[in-house]
Amino acid sequence: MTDTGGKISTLELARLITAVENSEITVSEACSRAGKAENSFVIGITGPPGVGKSTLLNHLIRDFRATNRTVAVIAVDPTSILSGGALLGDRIRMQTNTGDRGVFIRSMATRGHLGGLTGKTTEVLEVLKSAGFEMLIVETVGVGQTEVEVVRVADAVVAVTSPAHGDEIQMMKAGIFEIADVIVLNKSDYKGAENVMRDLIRCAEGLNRNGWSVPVIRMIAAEQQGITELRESIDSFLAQGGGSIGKRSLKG
Amino acid sequence: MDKKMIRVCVAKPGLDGHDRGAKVLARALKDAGMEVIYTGIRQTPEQVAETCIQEDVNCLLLSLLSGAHNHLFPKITALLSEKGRKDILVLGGGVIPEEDDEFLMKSGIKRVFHTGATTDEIVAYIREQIPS
Amino acid sequence: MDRYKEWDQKTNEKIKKSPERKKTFRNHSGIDVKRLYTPQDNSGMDYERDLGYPGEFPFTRGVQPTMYRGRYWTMRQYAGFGTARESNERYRFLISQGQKGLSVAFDLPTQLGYDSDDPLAEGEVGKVGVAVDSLQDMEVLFDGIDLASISTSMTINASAFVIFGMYLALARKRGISFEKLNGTIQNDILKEYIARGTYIFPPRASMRLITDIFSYCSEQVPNWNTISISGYHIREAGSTAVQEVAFTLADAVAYVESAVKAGLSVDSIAPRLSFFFNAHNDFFEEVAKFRAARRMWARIMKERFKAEDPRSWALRFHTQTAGSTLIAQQKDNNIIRVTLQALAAVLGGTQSLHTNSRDEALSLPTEHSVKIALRTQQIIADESGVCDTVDPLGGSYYVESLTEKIEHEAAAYLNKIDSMGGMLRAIEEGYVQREIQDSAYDFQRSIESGDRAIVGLNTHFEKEDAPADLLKVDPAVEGYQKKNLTELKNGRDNVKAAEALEKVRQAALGEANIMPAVVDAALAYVTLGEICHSLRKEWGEYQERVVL
Repeated sequence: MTDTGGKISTLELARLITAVENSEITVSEACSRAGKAENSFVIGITGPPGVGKSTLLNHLIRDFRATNRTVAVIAVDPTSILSGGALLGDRIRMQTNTGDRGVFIRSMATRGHLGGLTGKTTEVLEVLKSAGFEMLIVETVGVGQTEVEVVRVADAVVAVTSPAHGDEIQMMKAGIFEIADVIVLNKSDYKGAENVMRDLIRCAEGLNRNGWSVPVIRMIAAEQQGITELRESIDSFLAQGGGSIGKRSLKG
Repeated sequence: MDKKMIRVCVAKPGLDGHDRGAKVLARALKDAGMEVIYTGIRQTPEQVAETCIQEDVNCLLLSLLSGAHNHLFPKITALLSEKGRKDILVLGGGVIPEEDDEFLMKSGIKRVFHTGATTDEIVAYIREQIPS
Repeated sequence: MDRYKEWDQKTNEKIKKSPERKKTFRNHSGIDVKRLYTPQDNSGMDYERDLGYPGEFPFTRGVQPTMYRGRYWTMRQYAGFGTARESNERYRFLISQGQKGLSVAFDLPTQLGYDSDDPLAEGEVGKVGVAVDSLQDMEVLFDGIDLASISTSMTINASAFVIFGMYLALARKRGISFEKLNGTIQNDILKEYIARGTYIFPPRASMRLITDIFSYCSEQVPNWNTISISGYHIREAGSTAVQEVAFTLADAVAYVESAVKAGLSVDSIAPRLSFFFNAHNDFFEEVAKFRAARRMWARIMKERFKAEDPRSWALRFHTQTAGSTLIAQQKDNNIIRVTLQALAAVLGGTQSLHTNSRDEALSLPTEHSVKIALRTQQIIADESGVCDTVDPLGGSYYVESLTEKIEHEAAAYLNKIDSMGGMLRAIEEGYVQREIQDSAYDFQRSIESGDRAIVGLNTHFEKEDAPADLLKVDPAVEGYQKKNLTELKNGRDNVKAAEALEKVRQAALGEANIMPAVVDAALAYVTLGEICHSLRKEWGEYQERVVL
């Protein structure tokens, strides 16, 4: 049994998700089998590959657990156009304590859907909500225009960048920061980090809305620095109404 | 799209860091059209089993080069049965003497691939065992 | 028209009728190998500038003026399994067979800073090396072996500061001055992140431990090789020869930079840096690789780091034959593979050598197999005549051309890594790992497609029975180690041990060199696991950057 208030086991939940992914059952049927939704939030974490999202996520999961919330993660990776296969490789850093029924992690391949989210992501999120998870995290790769899709499902969006090889410039071009509620500069001990930081702060100022000023968090995820600050920022954004503040014209 | 996708977990239980074989294989399985969850090194049996459950895989490949296979592989298969996933096709590889095959197969490892096995062989075997 | 072109054209006509075995000939690094090499291929080479004389800059021809005419390389077989007692017996056997240096293999829990009774150590105790939990095991491991007269190499990295601390503690207990100690600790954390996987702490803490050891040894243990910067495992992970040279030297540059940043002078630490390379199958490519690495390092040290001591310029290295080339099928053929690889290492000017045993694709080697591997080196040394002159392949058009080519391509990698902000960054970005994995994948495909022939595997195979005479590590080791640990913890002065452990923790949090506190803790019988566990709490653990 999960301790998430849901009524099904981890095994059953995993199978339900497969069934939804393969269109074997409808999402409403899956949800009713999964249980009854608790109060939940969806957090999108986005940023280019290699920026350190998974390390960040691993620490964030631990932090959410430490503040007594259950966490489900969907990590989305691209399907190879050539073979139809996919490598869902970042799992290791998202493994916290095993035997902790309050964490559920599932990798999903895009299976032919261009962009960051699979066609089934929203449906799988619904199932996880019904299973009683409180914090639902969707991790996506890529900096494409379609990444903006995250915003449609998320109550809070975290954009992660780094000072390495012009990540930040690409993300600006793609409009990723425009959808961000919190910006993270990971690897902030790299050369050139100060310049990027200045740019990001300037960029964040332009995003302020209805009393929410978008914070830019300095992070060195590999050394566990900046994680608590991130978690607190997410929490205070959600406490102020989350996705309902300001920018959600895209939503719905 | 809606045909049954083969989902494989490639896992490195134990403490050895020799992941060359596991990674080459993970890539070959992807190129063969499968969805591959690679766990990274130094996984406990509990972590491996938990990953298989949550990811709902149909196949698990265990790679180990430290010699601890007789201890760790059976622990993993036992955990899988305990958690209700006895049906997963579990295969072993790495530095494993042939004389250990019998013991491992009795413990629920369907087949052991030895040094020199090709990725093509392994792909073909998985396809034969899990028709899509 | 020049004679070469004339010959080439004529030959090209001929092969239209009877073609060569392959359309293109390529070595492991993907370098095209020509049909024939002539003086034209060395036209850019300046003898004095690029080759020079053995024992002199740029050391292309070797680091000593007389090389093996003076004395042979150190024959050093990596060994260790089970308990300290069993390994001690194997060491005494090897010494009795004429081996001059020891090379200690530790089990994985020891390498990762776990005591034998840690739940994560289950099933791994004593498997790939000897289990060492405390000074007590060290005492048994070197029982009857004189630390002042043997050189001891220890394959230990993330936990090197503790194991080396125990070794020093043992010397102190026996009243041997640190100045008399000779040997090497591997202590190379960067290649653990890249290729070998036995890391513990995040990069910053790990680099600090390494510079602490550099600094401590330059004052206290002057004849100790403080690091063995290893390309061996990078190659085993599937890199090419060029990548092996490039990434090893890039690691070395990172260590020197970090030491300089910590305030140490280049010439105070560089003479104690040593290297460790792989000897793979492609004979001439390997010989050229060793020569290229030496020349590059000399230039880097002199030109980039402005080192003035010639000992800082000289790249001294240990070699091990490539474990990944051994195959389980027709295992005796591995003896011949190892012979060729060992010969390449000798012709490349190695300072010490480990030859793999024929059964290592199947399990740890038996005593009989180890003896054949050692005899292989002795036959090369005593019978083949290759040791009678220095750098016998120097001046070969082919070898010199390859040496130049490898240097050129490796230098391109070094530039690329510099432009990324250094090796630590390149590793964090996954760049290095990805380059290696791409090569590994290509290598595997080339075997499966039959492009690359492996006798017994994809050509000349035969049906055979499962080999029977394999070494089995007694599973009782784990219980034995656990029992000893319990007794140790009950028998030692626990107040003193706790104080010593706290001092290590304090040193770790502060600026002072950690080594004196570690040696004291070892003397108080604080265990490896206790020290590493306490520092894990302070520093956290490194998380793998998975690159696929």
